[in-house]
Amino acid sequence: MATILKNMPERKLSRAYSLERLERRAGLMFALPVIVGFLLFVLIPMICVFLLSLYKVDLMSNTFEFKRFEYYDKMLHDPDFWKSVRNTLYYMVIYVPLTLALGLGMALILNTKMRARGLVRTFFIIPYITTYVATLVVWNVFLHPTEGPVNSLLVSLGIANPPQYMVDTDWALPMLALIGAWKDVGYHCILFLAALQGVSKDYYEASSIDGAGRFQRFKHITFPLISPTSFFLLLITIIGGLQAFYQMALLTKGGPAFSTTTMTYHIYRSAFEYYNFSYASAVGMFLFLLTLVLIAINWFGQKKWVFYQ
Amino acid sequence: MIKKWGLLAVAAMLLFTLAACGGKGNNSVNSDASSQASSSAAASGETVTLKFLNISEYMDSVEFKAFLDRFQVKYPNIKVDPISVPHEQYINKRNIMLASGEQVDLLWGNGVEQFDAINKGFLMAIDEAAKEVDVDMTKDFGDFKPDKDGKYYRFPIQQNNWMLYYNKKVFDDAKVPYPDEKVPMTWDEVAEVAQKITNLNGKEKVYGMFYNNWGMYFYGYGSQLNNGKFYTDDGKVNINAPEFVRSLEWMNDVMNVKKAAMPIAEFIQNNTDFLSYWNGNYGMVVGAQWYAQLAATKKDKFPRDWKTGIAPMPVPSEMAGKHMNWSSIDSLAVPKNSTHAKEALILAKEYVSDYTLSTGALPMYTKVAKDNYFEELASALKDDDITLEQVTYLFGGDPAVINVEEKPVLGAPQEYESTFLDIISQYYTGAKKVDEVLNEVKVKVDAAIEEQQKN
Repeated sequence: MATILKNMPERKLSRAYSLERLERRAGLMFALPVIVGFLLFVLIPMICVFLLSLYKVDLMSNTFEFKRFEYYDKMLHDPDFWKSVRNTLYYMVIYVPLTLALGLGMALILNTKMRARGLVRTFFIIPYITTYVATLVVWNVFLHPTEGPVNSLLVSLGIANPPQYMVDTDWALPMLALIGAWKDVGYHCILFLAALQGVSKDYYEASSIDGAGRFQRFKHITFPLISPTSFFLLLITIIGGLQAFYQMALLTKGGPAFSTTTMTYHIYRSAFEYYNFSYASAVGMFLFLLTLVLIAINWFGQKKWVFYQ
Repeated sequence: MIKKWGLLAVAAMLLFTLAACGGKGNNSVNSDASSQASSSAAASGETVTLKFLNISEYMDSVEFKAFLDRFQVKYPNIKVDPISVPHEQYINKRNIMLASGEQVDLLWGNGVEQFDAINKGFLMAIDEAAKEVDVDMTKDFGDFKPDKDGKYYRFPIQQNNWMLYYNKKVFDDAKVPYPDEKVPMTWDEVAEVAQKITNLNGKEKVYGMFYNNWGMYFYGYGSQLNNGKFYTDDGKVNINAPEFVRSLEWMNDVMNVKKAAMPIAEFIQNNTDFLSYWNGNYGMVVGAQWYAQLAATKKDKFPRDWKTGIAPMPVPSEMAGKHMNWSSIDSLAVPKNSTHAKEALILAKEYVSDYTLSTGALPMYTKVAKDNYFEELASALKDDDITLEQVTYLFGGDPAVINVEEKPVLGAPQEYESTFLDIISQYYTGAKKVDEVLNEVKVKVDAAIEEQQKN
């Protein structure tokens, strides 16, 4: 571009510059709604949250008292906070791999020639498009300790004391992670399916001629070629896992005994139930940093396994 | 060019950030000043609009709308903007409204909620404003004591009067005699009767005892034993005291040994509503006057083919024969950022004078004529063969009743209640022992109290 401009006569050069300026302006105008949206709904609130975490705030009387990092100190010494971090990570350990594995597995099945494929696809996507509240009500009935079909089945199989799920500290969080995975797996399936359908059949034909088996084809062709989609889904699943909230708010309210209090629920409870917005903001900032670190690790780690064509 | 846009964006962002996050520094609101401002507003005849936050159970009724109409005629310059919120969402809604700086002029609350608001500094002292509307807080509500530091923050509506409601059909089916009208059962007797009238083999399960997942159903027996001593003398949590241990063990006996109450796992997962008792599948429940207000006298909303009976609240065997009550006061209060404190208290005064009786509750305000209250309530319950004498005795007409605290209200009451309820389910599901759960509650709530004292 620079060489072309250098060799241009002055009149043409000035026109080219003005054209370039116009293009830049047009580009900026196109990007403006996103920039404004980002500023208003992401960056500015984030700055506000950070400032809020440094002040003791009473909005009723508009008083602000600078507390430095006192709320961060409180957070780091709060056993409930660390419990919420552990719960969040535990949730993610179940939710992230389960959602990705099931999504990919389902997509692989749907990518084969099968009867009523459209109908099956619809079934798979239904949980994702159904409202969270409705699905949680159904799960609540499903997992009812005495009258739910799951426990009725377990009792009929001779299990005298089946789990009590939502009031059992050992079961509640894994069940919520399972529900979260069930809810989101349809979305993952659709994206994986789109990626799978973008893989040229020529590769498979060539590999078949070379004598590659099904597993080798998946390992050396399918997985590398859908790795950008896998990477994208991994990132959004991690973010989704860190922000798990609905199930806790609607089914367990963070209990029993704090066992399903994730970081987002801890923020919600601190802010809206206990009216401690500054402390909640400090936890919010920690969650942001944790998200950033996990995303960064994956971002830099992608070089090892993500293959861009 | 890009630099210019960048600078502009940063400048706009900073400006917006400062505008959004900035405050006025340490300019705390003076409640006296606000009441003076309101006085002048009222005096000048200018119209003010009051935002009134209350639970939908008390606002979404024909009687409340009729009350507002009467109020509007009497005070044309005071408009009321009612904000109605279901009770289970009330605290969050209140906190969000107050945190966002939204001005609310009058808000309802039970004992825990109002003390939580006082401790968190939401409310203004109303002593002066009350005088302006001709209310003497020291005399006009009987033996009502100041809330904090010798000041009144609450404008009392009603005191809860607890009793035992029972389903006569369930007793008849089990061929068990009804509880005595005057002599309270002991908790041990209640447990035995509950077991006798429980029938889990019928078409529909009938539990002898209904309970709510509210603190007093678990620690209330203990509160009767130790006179509501929820805090130690140095202000720490006393929930691990032997009286409360005994109280929780009693409930465990009823629920898990005698199988006379719904298991807690089932109760929680069913999202059981406190009015579920009125579906007829329970023998007894301990409840306050609000059960009569909201259900027993409202057969259109809660149709039933069985009669209810009422008896004094059960007591520990040590208190046998005594008429006891868990005392808790519902009240109205004025948030400290209200600029219409006087008008808010005019509304509060009218609320207790002209509306509370119509909800079926006995107002604490002594200047309101209550002569017909007991007669009207007895008349509304006559189909249940409940007499005027019974109503008078149980709904607030017994001067000899012994009141003990219904709930902990002093240090971190909101944290106390929610932590307690979150943790004790562990005991009732058999995951932990009673001492373990109560000690866990103590550790957590003590930390919350300490934190609150620091602030």
